[in-house]
Amino acid sequence: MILLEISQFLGRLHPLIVHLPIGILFVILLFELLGYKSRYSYLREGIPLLSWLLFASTLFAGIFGYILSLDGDYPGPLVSQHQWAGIILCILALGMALLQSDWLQQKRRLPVFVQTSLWVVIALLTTYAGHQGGSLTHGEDYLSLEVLREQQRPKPDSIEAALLYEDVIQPLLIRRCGQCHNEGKKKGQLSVTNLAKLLKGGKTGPALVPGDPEKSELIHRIKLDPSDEKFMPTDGKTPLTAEETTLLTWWVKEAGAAEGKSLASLEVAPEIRSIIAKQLGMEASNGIAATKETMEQLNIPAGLVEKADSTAIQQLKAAGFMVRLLLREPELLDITLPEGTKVDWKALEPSLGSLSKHTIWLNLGGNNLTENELQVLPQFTNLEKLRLHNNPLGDEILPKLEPLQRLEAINLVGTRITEAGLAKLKSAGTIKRVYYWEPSVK
Amino acid sequence: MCDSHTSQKPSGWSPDLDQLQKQLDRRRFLTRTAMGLGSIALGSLMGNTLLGKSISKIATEDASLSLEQEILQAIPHLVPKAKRVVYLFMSGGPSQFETFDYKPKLLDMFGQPLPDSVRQGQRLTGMSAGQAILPVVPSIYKFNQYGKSNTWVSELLPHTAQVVDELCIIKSMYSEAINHDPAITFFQTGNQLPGRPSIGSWISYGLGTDNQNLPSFIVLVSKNAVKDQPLYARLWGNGFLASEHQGVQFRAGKDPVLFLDNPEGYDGEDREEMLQSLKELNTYQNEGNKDPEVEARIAQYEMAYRMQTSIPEVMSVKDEPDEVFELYGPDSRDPGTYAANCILARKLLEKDVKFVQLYHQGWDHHGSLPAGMAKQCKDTDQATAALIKDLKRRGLLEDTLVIWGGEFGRTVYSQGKLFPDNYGRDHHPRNFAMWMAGAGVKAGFSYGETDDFSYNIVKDPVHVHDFQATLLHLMGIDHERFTYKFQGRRFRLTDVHGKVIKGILS
Repeated sequence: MILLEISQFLGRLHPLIVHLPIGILFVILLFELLGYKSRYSYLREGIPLLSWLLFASTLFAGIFGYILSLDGDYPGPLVSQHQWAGIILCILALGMALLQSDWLQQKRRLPVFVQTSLWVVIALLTTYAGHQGGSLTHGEDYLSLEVLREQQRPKPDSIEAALLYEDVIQPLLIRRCGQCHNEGKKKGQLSVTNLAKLLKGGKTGPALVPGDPEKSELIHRIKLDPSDEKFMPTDGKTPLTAEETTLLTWWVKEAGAAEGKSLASLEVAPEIRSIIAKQLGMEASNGIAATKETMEQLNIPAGLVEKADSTAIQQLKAAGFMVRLLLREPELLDITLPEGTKVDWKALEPSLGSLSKHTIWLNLGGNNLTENELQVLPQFTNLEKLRLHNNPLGDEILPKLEPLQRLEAINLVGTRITEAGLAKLKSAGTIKRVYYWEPSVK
Repeated sequence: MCDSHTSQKPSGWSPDLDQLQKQLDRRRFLTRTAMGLGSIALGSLMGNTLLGKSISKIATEDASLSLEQEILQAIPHLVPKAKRVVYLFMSGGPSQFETFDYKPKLLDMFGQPLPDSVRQGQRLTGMSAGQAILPVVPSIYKFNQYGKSNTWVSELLPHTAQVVDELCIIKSMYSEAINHDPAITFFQTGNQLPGRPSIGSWISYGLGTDNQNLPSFIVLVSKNAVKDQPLYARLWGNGFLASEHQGVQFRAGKDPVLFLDNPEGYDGEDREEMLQSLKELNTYQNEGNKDPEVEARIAQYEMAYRMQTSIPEVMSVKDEPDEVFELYGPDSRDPGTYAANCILARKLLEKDVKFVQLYHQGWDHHGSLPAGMAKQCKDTDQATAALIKDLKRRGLLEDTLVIWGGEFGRTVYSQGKLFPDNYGRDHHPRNFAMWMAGAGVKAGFSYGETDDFSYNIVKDPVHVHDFQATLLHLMGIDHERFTYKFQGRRFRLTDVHGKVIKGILS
């Protein structure tokens, strides 16, 4: 048993050891080429020793590689090609080492350029074998120009717009399982790169059974005890998180393990939605997501276009208003007219009107306003906070407040509103907080 | 000045090269060239034009600058609740025992040593670590329940008790620092070591100003307090943010800002013209240097000019009726006192100054705590409550957040000898009480619990970074998305910590 484990351990060292002959070979090539310059010709003297080292390291790499091929779950033809490339390299290395030996050098001396070209051939063969080795470890499509040209699905704008399989599940599976289960590597003959391959499954049958997570091998395997031999991902790789497991199970069970389904078409429980949001990278900190869903929960007026009229904002600012953004999508505004600012209300009415729906806070305090100036006020139907304090306004303003159905707080400090007017205001509508107080004047 | 400048220019100098040298520091040069060369190599490797555009983009764009703007342009991240903040900083570490954390069980334990099971080997300061016993001492002052919320408040705070239904008291605050300076610095800047921007500076940087004529971050320090522990201007400093975001400290006295009046014999008529020319000269000079400090100075000259008219108006309490002074208490007629500063704060908030911070020192009662606390509370209680009442009746509490608190709490045991009527308390960062009121927080609410000794938190701990995260949250900022890059790394007010305390949000 222990012997077996040692051999397994040594086998796994193969990918490490193979870099030794590669490095030595490159040094040999460097010395060989530099040797053409008389200044560096002494370097050639090191090549015979390096050749022996090359042979020894190639031999070891080969033996370890053979051990690895015994227990590794690698596709046959590629392994045997790689194996033969290794054996040939080993023989060539031995040949080169012998060629350089004093004994042979005395008998027959090869022309220098022939020797160089032999090294180049060996280097090329090494490159070929190395590439095959890489393909065995990472999958055949790991290092190919196709990767560069691959079209990435554009990131969806919102959770609703996302496709469940294409945008969430597929990237998740490829990220977490694709290192071993891809088109090139296919451990257990399973590839997770697309849905058809998943339904077809691998050695142990279909990986997914739509609607039935219990029978789905993939779900079964990731839910096993991590110490179980069949637990995936194997070999001590990081297990899937509880959230990822929940999401995959839900996808198989509730969403029928199907592709092409948008999230808008599905009934998604809040906890699943938050997992999906996280997977899509749409979740902001502490669950304060900047997504549209949460905006609805934040009581944002419906039917707003995203952007407020920017020329109107410029006009108001030029007239002395302070316009502050309270939210970006959709744009919600806080408009303040600083105390004692004289403005031409008639001229600004169109601008104020066009921003009225976007404005949720409005402060017009201390500007000597009467009902006449505030003709535009009833248009501000999305207002939540309104400050009209310190203006000579009486009860005649009250009808103008009636359309403001979302108004929560109104400040009427220092106005001429009567007790009766206040009572009327408090009894009607949604207003929760009315501030009224008559400041004493010195 | 300009002449000497030109005469020293080395041979081969050209304005373009000079500009390039000033704008390309080592780090930016390395980043750009590495990224640029790398992507060019990749592009030619692939032999297609797919990346063509982005290469030229990388090569010409100043990536770090645009990211900074991107971060600012994403603010606000959510609809804010608070438009302004007034932070009443009680410097020195007010005792929670004689204010808000009522611990009746301690009355039976007077003088007994603090059980080890409570202390759990926690560190003490060097001031009391050598004490033979750590005798438990209850509050010498009585507590009563007030308001609809039936909140326990000490008899030292009769006025605050009247507004307790407006307060959201957090009894489970905790900090990491055990000494004053690191603890205050931690509270104000999110880091125990000096050098980071303070909360007000971050807010000024992130949200700008709502009043062009006043600084967005103003600091008032009470003159009528025992200056037992020092305060440094860096507590309201801008750190690595641009200088115009630093807190502007008003003097405690009759003239909060000096030199606003024109000198004798000058009517100030051509002031604006003079400043305009000065700005042109400064801008011209700075074209070569691109020094942000010069830009900050230009902005500050202009602010100072606008303050010449705005400050006398906002600072004058001549028009305040007697009733206001009666509300804030007798001290309020004496400029520079805590009470007078509270009136000033209200007036600044009325003008939409975004962040007003008051400091009142003298809460560091290692000895003679009963007398000390009585004095401190007397100096601040009425004005604090008056500020709440005044903001409330003016409708300003609707969108103003009021914060009251110190940098840490005090120990349950007496520091030094315990007398029946006299004791002291040492620093205790493991739990302490502070409160918030107004925009976005629950009113008449208590959050968090401590054990019977007010030594450990047993429910809902709130870290200093949590408090800061919540403060930013109420102002519409997600603290995790609000960063500033300095010396090659991104900084946040909350470092890599902090979570919004949802339990106190209304």
